Amino acid sequence: MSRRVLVVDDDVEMVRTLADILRLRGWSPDVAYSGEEAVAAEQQTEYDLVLMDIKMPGMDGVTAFRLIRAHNPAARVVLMTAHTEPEIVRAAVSEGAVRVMTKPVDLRSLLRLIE
Amino acid sequence: MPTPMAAPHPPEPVARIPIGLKLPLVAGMLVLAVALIMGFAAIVAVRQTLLSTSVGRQQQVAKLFAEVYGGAARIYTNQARTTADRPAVIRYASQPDPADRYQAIDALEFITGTAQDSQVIAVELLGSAGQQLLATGPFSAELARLHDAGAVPIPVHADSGALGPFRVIDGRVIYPVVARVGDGEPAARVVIWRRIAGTPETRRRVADLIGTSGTILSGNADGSVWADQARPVDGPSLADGVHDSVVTYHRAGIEGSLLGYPLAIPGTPWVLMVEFPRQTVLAPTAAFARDLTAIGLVGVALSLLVAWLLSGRLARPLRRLTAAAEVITRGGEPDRVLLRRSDELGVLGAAFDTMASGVRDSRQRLEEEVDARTTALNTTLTQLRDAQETLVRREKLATIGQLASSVGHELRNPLGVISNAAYYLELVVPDPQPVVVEYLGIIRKQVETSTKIINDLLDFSRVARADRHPLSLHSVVDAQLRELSVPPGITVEHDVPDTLPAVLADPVHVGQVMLNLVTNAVQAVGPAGGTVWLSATANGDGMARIEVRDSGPGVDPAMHDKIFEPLFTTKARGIGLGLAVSRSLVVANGGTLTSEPAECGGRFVLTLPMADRSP
Repeated sequence: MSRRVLVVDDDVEMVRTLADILRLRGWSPDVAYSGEEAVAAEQQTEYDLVLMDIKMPGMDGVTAFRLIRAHNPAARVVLMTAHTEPEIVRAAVSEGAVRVMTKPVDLRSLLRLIE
Repeated sequence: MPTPMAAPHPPEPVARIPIGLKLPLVAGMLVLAVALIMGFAAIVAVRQTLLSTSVGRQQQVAKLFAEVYGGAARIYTNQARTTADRPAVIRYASQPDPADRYQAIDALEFITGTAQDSQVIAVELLGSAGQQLLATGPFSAELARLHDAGAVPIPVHADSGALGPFRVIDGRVIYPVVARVGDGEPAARVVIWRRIAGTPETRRRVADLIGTSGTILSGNADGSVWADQARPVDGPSLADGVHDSVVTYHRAGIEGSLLGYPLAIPGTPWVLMVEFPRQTVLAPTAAFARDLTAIGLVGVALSLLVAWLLSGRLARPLRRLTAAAEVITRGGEPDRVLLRRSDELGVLGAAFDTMASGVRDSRQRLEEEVDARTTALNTTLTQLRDAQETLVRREKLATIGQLASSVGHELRNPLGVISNAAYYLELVVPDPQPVVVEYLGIIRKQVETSTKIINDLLDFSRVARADRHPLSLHSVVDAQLRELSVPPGITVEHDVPDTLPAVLADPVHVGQVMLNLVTNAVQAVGPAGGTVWLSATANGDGMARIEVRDSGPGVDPAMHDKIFEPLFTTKARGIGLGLAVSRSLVVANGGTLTSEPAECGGRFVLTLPMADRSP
């Protein structure tokens, strides 16, 4: 049983490349393209990891992260951001995010972290 | 020398006639006017004097000749008396007997015959009824005409005679001398007709007395007949009587008026008049006027000369004052006018000098004031320009910051995708050809460079807020050097002892700055190879001092400050924010970052406050 990962980003190709890499590494990726979709998917399925962009149209990643944590306090969420505002990073980390990674995400360290 | 203010044009010299000429002109005209008036008065006075002198002379001569004429008249009257007393005459008058006729005529001719008097032209005896009894003499045939010309007077007393008025017959002036004959009443009379005929002797005497221009006239008391020494002439009417005054009249053939002084001759019905042509009397006036004109001209010339000299003395100082005033107007400094005079012009000159000196002083004060104000203004301007530049730079940087932030964020996503794609290919291509590996490496490296540029941009655009903690420089430098991939041929040597006390700084910031400085140093050394040195010491003033040196070409001395300005770069690639970001990060951590001169290569000095600043 491979580990399940939910990849969330409004950029389709970002989602596609990340999902492909993770699949190559033995993960079983689901994809979502918005915060709402991510929250909905998480309701359906229990994921070992949620890899989610912060800045998205509609519900942003941090809100989605909070809803997911509210639904499943044990959920492991890695947030990705093109921004590096320390306040957001600190707030997310203090609320239980595993890591906030700056884009472009260094895949080697990401994989080190999650595997 | 400040430019003088656009001076209002000094009034053009309106004096068409300069004062140096005007004064002599006025003086000359005045003198001329005075000379003319005085000359006129003098001439009038001279004329009057001449006229009154002439009158006096005429008076004297007239009296003299009146006596002479009066004396002659008495003699002629006596002659008539003597003739009338002859017995033959008396007898014939009482009884005109033809037998006595020749005796009576003899008696009548007695006087004329003995006296050989050529003035007697006829003698007649008139009866008591006035009828002619006898007549003799060359003019006896014409006696009727003489009687027609006027009545013959009858002497009042038997022993007296009478003279009749002049009458003119055939160009001769004739008068009767009458005496009574006997005692009868009405009386018979002897009339001796005489004519006026001056002798050369009398003319000479007259000329001696009054000159050749003067004439002695005799005439009837009413002026009806006038005669000179021989002939009748025109003369003034004396109908108003004879007064002690000169009469003025004209005579045909004589130019100008004549002045006559008439005087009654006592014992006769005649007047005597001494006459001069007015021109002759007044002749000296012309000579006097000529002399006077010459004197006047000399006087005017002299006064012109004097006035010219005086006005020169007046005009010269005025010209000097004017010239000095013009110098002041043009903004120059005039010499002192210094009029050595004690009059009003001297006072004016002194006042002018005082004023000029005042103008000079105030102009100098003004210039000093202007200089001071200009300096202050320039200082303010410079400050303003600096402030403006700072403002513009800040504004520019803020705009760049916003743009950079937005562009940077947007680029991070595609870079992420590229990076992911490359990584995926690395994973999926089994036993890749070396060139594929190389090209994937190129993609990864370029993504890293792009990421670095974007990070710099974002760092710069963000207000750096330091999260400062005590920090070991040794470990920070170690960590950064491990991450750094140093190209072959370049050695990085570092002397950052782990015994160095901790600094108080944001570890992320310090790491970023150290990475930036070392990366710059490595790039400065270049592919030719060289060395980069890192060293850190405690400065003793509570600061740690870190130096990053390299064996590269070094920094142009003029660029030590410039290289820290945003967007300034000497590299072919790069946007010139690295050092600017580094400095702002260091400053945010209470430190300094400078580029300093070195014996060779570049030398960057970074200071950071020690965590424990107590000595």
